Amino acid sequence: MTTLLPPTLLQWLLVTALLVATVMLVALVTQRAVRHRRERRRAELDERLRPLVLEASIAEDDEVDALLARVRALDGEEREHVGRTVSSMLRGITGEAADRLRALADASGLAPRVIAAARHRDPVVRADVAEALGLLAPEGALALLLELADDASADVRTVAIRALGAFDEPASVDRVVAALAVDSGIPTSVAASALLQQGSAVGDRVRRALEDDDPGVRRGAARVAGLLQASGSGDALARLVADEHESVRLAAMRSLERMPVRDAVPALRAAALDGGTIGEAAARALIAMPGRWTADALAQIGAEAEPGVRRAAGLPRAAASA
Amino acid sequence: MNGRILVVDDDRDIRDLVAIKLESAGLEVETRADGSEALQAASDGEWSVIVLDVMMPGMSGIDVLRQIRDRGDRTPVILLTARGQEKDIEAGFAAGADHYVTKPFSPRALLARVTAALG
Amino acid sequence: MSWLHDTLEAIFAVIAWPAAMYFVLANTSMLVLVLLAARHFARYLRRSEHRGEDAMAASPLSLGVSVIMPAYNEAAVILTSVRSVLDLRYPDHELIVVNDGSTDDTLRLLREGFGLVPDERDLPGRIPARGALRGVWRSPDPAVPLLVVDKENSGRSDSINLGLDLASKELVVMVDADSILEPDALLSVSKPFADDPERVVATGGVVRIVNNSRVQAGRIVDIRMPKELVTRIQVVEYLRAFLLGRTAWSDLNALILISGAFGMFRRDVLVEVGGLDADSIGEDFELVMRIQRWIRHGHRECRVEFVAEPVSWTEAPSTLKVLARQRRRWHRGLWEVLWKYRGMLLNPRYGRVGMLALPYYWLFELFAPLIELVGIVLVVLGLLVGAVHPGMALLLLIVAYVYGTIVTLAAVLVEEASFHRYERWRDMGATLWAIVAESLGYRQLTAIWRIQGWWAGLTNRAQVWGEMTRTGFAEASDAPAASAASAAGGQPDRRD
Repeated sequence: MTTLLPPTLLQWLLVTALLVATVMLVALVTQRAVRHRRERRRAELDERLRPLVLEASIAEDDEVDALLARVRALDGEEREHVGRTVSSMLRGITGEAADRLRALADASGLAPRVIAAARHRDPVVRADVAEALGLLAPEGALALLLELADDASADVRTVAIRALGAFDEPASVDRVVAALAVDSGIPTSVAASALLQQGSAVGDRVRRALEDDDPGVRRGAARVAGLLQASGSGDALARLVADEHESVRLAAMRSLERMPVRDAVPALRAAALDGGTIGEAAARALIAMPGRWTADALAQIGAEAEPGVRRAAGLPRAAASA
Repeated sequence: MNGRILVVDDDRDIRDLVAIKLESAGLEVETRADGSEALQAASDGEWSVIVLDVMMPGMSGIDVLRQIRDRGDRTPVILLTARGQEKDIEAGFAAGADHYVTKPFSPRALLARVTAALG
Repeated sequence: MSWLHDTLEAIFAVIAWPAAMYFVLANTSMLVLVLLAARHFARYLRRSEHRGEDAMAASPLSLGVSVIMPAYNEAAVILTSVRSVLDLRYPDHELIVVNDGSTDDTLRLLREGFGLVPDERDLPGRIPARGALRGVWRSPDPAVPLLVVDKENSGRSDSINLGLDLASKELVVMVDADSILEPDALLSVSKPFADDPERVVATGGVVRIVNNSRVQAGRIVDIRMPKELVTRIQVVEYLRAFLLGRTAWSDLNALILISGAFGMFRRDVLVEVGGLDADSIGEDFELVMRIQRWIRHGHRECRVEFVAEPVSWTEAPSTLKVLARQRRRWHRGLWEVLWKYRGMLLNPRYGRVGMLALPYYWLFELFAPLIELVGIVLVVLGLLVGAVHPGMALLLLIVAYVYGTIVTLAAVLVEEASFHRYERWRDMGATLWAIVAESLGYRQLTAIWRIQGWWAGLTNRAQVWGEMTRTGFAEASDAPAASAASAAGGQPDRRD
């Protein structure tokens, strides 16, 4: 007979297993019960406080103070709920209503709390702060965001740069442009989107960035230039079509699709004939330009370029024409 | 101001903010939270203007609009589209929208749009 | 019967302890994966406030995505599916439907529904495709970025390859026409690419089971637990293996399987490695293995990442017959891919993929059903003839099933703390019953099917080899079986 284990040990094993399973079951049920209770509590608070927040969003100038006083008179849990509701609503709206809600966030104590937590030990909290600063834009938010944009945690830096998109002051624009650099540790799409969000205020800065030494900055600026229709950036974009870095060339070509520049045609033609991803991007830029500029280039592409590039240039397949 | 406005958005915040702003101007407002409810409401009632979100789970705003127009209903429709979704605007006009407002939007500007649509 | 008694006793003396160790190890490694995933979720959810997906959705700078949807006789759902993909929340995506020689109205519905016009543009031809092209159609409306490729029937993989050839964006994602997509699916799955465009080459998201949930116009509107027990068990299985298992492997940078029902790839890399292998039954698994090998051959900085967000919902088999077919196919695919890439097994050159993930898949996935079934047969026989002490049988039972149940319970606990998609108390009861029921019959049944699939792979391979010497290249002799399985609702995916 194969026995091997003393029966008492087996019993212990089994009992332990059942105990563990029971504890897990209890944890499962408790977790859900607690969550449901919290949800119910929030729903209750919401029913009472939501009308107040909504009323504030349409308040006339002379009604604001009274509303803010009402918020200040609420207890801690209620004010916290007001802060939460305001944050959620601010994601959807701008203008006067947003200004009113921001005042409410201030009165609820949310904005002061956010500012106070800007130097919290936990990077997750600091990232949340950066996010909230962009949304609530309280006094001093810009200075704090510039500080958080140099945070030790890459996560915090990224959120701060994204939040800076809501501020078009020169210091903010400069910081966002610097974040385009290759070794900034910030995703280029985040920095470039922030720059784009800063809008027409950045035109001059983008033009200069097209000549920057850092390829990341050139790439980001090249990508944004076309979307912003940054006037006077055409020559620089045409030059960047032949940049030493592939990603810069691609970005310039994407912008040229929206902002045609005649001087770029020869470089685009050469790139298209070289083929590959770059060649396809070049072909797409070419067909977005007026036909009288590009007729020769397209004819040559039709005769010599690889099929992928011909497709990008909208040229028919040989079999179809034959 | 007189008028019955139907506001459709799956986001409760937006629904409430738009509703209170329009109501403050004296308009009568009803809200719906999804596409199929919106279609039902559109066929059940007479509306002066419909404010319609594009991005909703289930039926999208564009689909709702298309079906409303297919029924021959010419009620003015203002679409709420997200920033960056320019293609929604093109698709929206193709489906018969009258105006669009991009999110995040100013409720005040939206009210002005609605007022203009009321004629 | 004493010879049987003696033989079994002898066998048992040798294998009892290794067998016990095996089950302890199998369940412990799964438990470790679950705990790793729990840690991942704890961090991930804390960051949910500032992940910035709204900003990404609003930015025209987000990477472009080509969605490739192969379609074989999908007339019933094709228009809804196409609309739901076009309506996904994403700033820049196009859809390429590949009509794989459908014999129904799929193509006509698309042409009429979207007023398609012929697209005569040249074809890149970067990926060799087998199915002869019949034509390319595109939408004339710039607001509807839709391309429809019509071709002779040649299977899902080949269809996707043809779609890949015509894709024009930086990223590609493969979806099935009958999958229900989350509105934010493209955003979630492309997020790692946006964060690290130089290094992330492939991502996958969570596939969940749609049975019994309410679906409207191609979107899920009310999540419900499936009705049948066999489907409920699969919900738990998916949770443990897909959600938690893959999250953990991704954190270990050793993810070798992402679901073909929603996998996203950098297009240049996918083209470079040659697209899907049209001969493989486990084509999704095969592709990720090939990419992992590519990464270890000169692209070490690159990685494959899993996104723990639900992205797509798929119909799971609700009858044993269909389930059996699916599991046979999955296990056969598993075997063929593991065998094909056996050179990477325990090869330090392949890092954690070779030293950790592959050994795990060989030992605890491929061999698991065999070891489990042999164990059951031996223990039952041994108990009958008195060659096995009941204590030993009990020990094996504890390490194999009770421990396994606890591991699954841990997975459910993590889900409850993180996504909690099934909110009704009733659903919790159903889940708990499914956890227990999985050990009582389900696992044993699937073990049988999995061995059948493995066997089919072993025997058929020899056959294909035999043919190859004559015809040069065997036109996948298993193609009818595979397409029958997918036609009957088999999943283009397999269990971890």
